[in-house]
Amino acid sequence: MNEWTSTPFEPWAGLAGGVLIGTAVVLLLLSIGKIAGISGITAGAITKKHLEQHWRLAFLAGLLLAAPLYLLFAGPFEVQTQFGAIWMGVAGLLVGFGTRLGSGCTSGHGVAGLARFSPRSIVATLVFFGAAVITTNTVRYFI
Amino acid sequence: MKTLIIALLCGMVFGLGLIVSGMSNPARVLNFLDWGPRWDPTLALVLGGAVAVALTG
Repeated sequence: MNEWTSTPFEPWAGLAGGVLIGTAVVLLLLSIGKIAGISGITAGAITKKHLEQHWRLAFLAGLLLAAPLYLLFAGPFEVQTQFGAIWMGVAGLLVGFGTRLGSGCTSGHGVAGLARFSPRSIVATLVFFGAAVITTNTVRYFI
Repeated sequence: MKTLIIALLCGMVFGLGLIVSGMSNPARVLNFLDWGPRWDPTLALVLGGAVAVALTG
C-alpha cells in the first residue's frame, strides 16, 4: 500500500480527552447506574424497549452532538482517512459486528471493565488490541 | 426526564473526550496499532486517563 498518514504524539490532549471520557463513565454509573459501553448502548438502543431504550438513545444523541458542538465552540478537528464513504461504512459494520461478538468495546471492556478489574474485560481488551495490532501491521507491511 | 438529560450530557462529555483526545481521527487510532515508524502512543494515554478517573467511580 502507499503512504499512510502520520499523526504526532499528543500526550496532553490524549490525557485531557481520557479524563473527559472517564468522567462521563463515572457520571453515568453514579447517576443512573449504567455502564457507558458504546457498543452495548448502541445495540440496546435498537433492541430494548421503553425506558431501557430511551436513556440509550439520549446518550447516543449526546455523543453525536459532541462533534457539531466542538465545531461551533472550539473549531475544526482532524478526521483523516484515505478511504471513501463506502469503505468507512463497511468498516463501521465490521466494528459493530466485532464488538458484539466480543461483548464489548474499548469503552465497556477497556475503560469501565479495566477500572473494575474485571478479568473478563482485561482478557477482552488484551485480545482485541492484540488482534487489531496484528491486523494493522499485516495489512500495512506484509500485504 | 432527569435520567434522559443526564444520559444526554454523559454522551456529550464522552464525545467531547473522543474529539479532544484525537480519537475521532481514524488515522490516529490506526497509528496506535501500527508498530512501525508511525507508531502514535496517544491512545494509551487516553485509555490510561479514562481508567484512572473511572477507578474513582
